Amino acid sequence: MSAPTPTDTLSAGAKAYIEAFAEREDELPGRGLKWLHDARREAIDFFSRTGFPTQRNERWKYTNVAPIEKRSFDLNRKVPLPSRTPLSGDLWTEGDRQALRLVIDDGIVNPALSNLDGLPQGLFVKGLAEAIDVESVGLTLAPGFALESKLTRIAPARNDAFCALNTALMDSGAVIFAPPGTVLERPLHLIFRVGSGEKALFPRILIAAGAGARMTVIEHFSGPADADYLENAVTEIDLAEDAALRYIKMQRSGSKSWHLATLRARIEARAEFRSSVLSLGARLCRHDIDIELQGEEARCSLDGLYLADGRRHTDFRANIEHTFAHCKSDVYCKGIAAGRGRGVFNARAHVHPDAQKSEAHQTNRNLLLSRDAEIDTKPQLEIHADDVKCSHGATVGQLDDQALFYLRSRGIDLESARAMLTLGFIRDIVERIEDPDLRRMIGKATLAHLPGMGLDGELSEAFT
Amino acid sequence: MLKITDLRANVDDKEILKGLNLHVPPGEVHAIMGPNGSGKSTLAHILAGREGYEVTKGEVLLEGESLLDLAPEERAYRGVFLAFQYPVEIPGVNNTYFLKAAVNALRRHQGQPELDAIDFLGLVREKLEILHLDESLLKRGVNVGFSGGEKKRNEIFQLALMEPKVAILDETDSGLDIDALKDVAKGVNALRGPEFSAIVVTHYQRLLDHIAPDRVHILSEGHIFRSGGIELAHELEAKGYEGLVRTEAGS
Ligand SMILES: Nc1ncnc2c1ncn2[C@@H]1O[C@H](COP(=O)(O)OP(=O)(O)OP(=O)(O)O)[C@@H](O)[C@H]1O
Ligand SMILES: [Mg+2]
Repeated sequence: MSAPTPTDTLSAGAKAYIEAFAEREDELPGRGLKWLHDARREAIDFFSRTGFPTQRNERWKYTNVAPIEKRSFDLNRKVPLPSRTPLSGDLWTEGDRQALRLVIDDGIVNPALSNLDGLPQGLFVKGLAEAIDVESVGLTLAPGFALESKLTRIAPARNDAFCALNTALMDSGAVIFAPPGTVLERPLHLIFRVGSGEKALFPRILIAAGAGARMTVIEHFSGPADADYLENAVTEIDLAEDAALRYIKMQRSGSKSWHLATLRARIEARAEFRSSVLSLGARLCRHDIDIELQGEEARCSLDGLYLADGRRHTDFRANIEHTFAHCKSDVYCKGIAAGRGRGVFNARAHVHPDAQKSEAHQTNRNLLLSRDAEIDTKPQLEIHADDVKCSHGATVGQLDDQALFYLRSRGIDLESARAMLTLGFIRDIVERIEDPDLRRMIGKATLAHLPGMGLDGELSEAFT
Repeated sequence: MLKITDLRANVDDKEILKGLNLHVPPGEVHAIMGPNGSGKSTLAHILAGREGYEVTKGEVLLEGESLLDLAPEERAYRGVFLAFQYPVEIPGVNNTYFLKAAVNALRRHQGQPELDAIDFLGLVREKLEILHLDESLLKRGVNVGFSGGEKKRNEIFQLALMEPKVAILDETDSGLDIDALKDVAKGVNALRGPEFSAIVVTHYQRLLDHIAPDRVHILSEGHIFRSGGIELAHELEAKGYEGLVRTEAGS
């Protein structure tokens, strides 16, 4: 099959992705699965028509991806396996040898470092390629689980150019399924690590929970500080009735990297999606979140923390569709902009006419630590039902002078006082993480990224 | 200990302190009384090093050394402590963490070893008891959700922990019930000794019944307008500021 011909209006940068797809088409996971191959082809067709988004596109108004388009990342990654040097990156769960984890190094599952012992009966966690492989030979992954009805269906390629590129080129990631009624007591960590080199990675994560199933999943991304690489990730989430997912995303990618993440979730009646997305690394980061509340009493809460210091740019976009009555959504985001950084918050809750008794709240608070930093915030409500409880608010402020003086008058030097107040500003985002061990881990890791944290030992004890 | 000479200071180009003189020798406690808006808090803030005040003239010496060019934290290291008229709420900053950081910062700068968690807790418990403060306040954000009285007790609790050379209490008694007032007085009296001086800003004689001041000063329109012993507070209580001014004018 020949690859679609790139349109002439596309840039050379965009064409490179289309060419890479043409070259790799036959070796990408799922070549033998018609539905998946079709999805990939549709995705690349879509991308061939659209190319990379520009800031004229309302969805991308505040974020310029032209520098990504101009780069020529290694899209083929034809490095033979044996020549790969083992990565020495952050294993995230180092303190806990028993932690459930799937480690994915440069897009390949690292079985030696992964630990999936003791998963409840029926719950499976597989690398993406492996999961696709099982389906390819005509086996099913689990009774009642149809990969075809979920993968690329929850987050369709036409969602967005980056989602399309991921769909066409995805070759790594994870598929997680908790059968109805299953409870995973311990958090599951998906640990994505990257070695050196200017490569492009397309991780895809599918998390599906059957009726009444409950679990906690953490996605952790990290990479070398000096590598200029692209992570274009897509997470698809499907929660059946009464299911509950606690989802945490730790974006701690290398400070020269580009991290673009799409998250789409379908949430059925009475199911609950609790999410915390912490964006701490990368030079440019975008979280593009779409939630569909698809049954009565479905609930979602989207907590977020984004840090834009140095020259970092970080963009948090969320859209929540309230289609049924009695649903609840809550967006609670905090941002810090320092140096010449720029933080963008753009969230919308859309309450449909039949979605009576909906509750939708959006709060965005920002701390501006320097004159050259910038915050753009736009919480929005679009309400077509009359019996609803909705609120939204945004603030942009600086460190409180009175509080600074109070701390200094007690002998705390200016730098420490600023650090303390900055920490105080973000504290509740961390404290809203219920599991005490996770909270400590995340608190400590978060502090290491905040500007001005000398980590004198005292501050690292701040989260207990 | 503390010597203020001809201090003039502006806020937003408006002169608030207009040539203020005050000398508090070591071991003495002086009360400052004065009508609303006369500059008492302004003086307290300038002593503690708050930004936003322009000192146009005069000097402030602590043990012979000038304070005015020092950052607030450096003044704290030299032994200056201000109990705020309006203690600041700092959400997200845990009270214990803050207190430990403060105590250890002072100790570091004063050449003493830092306290570990256990020693610190011991010290804190001892002082909490004196102030009748509940230990649960330690777990909260600094002053967050504290009642008015708790905030004031918390200031004196910090005073007790930091053991400064010069304490400035800005209306610590305002809004306190009788028991709290006694606790505050007890906190101050516990520190009294030849190495400790204090300036107690108050509107009421009541606090002075419990902290017997060595001198009482009346601050009015940016300068010390009369000084005397405790009898001055009594006279003020009887006549009010208007009355005092008239007496002064008549004498
Ligand atoms: N930041 C400021 N900006 C403008 N004016 C100020 C500022 N701070 C103080 N002032 C003015 O300075 C004067 C003295 O205020 P100050 O707070 O020192 O009075 P005070 O004697 O402490 O009064 P009170 O008994 O009410 O506490 C007042 O007229 C006040 O309005
Ligand atoms: Mg005052």
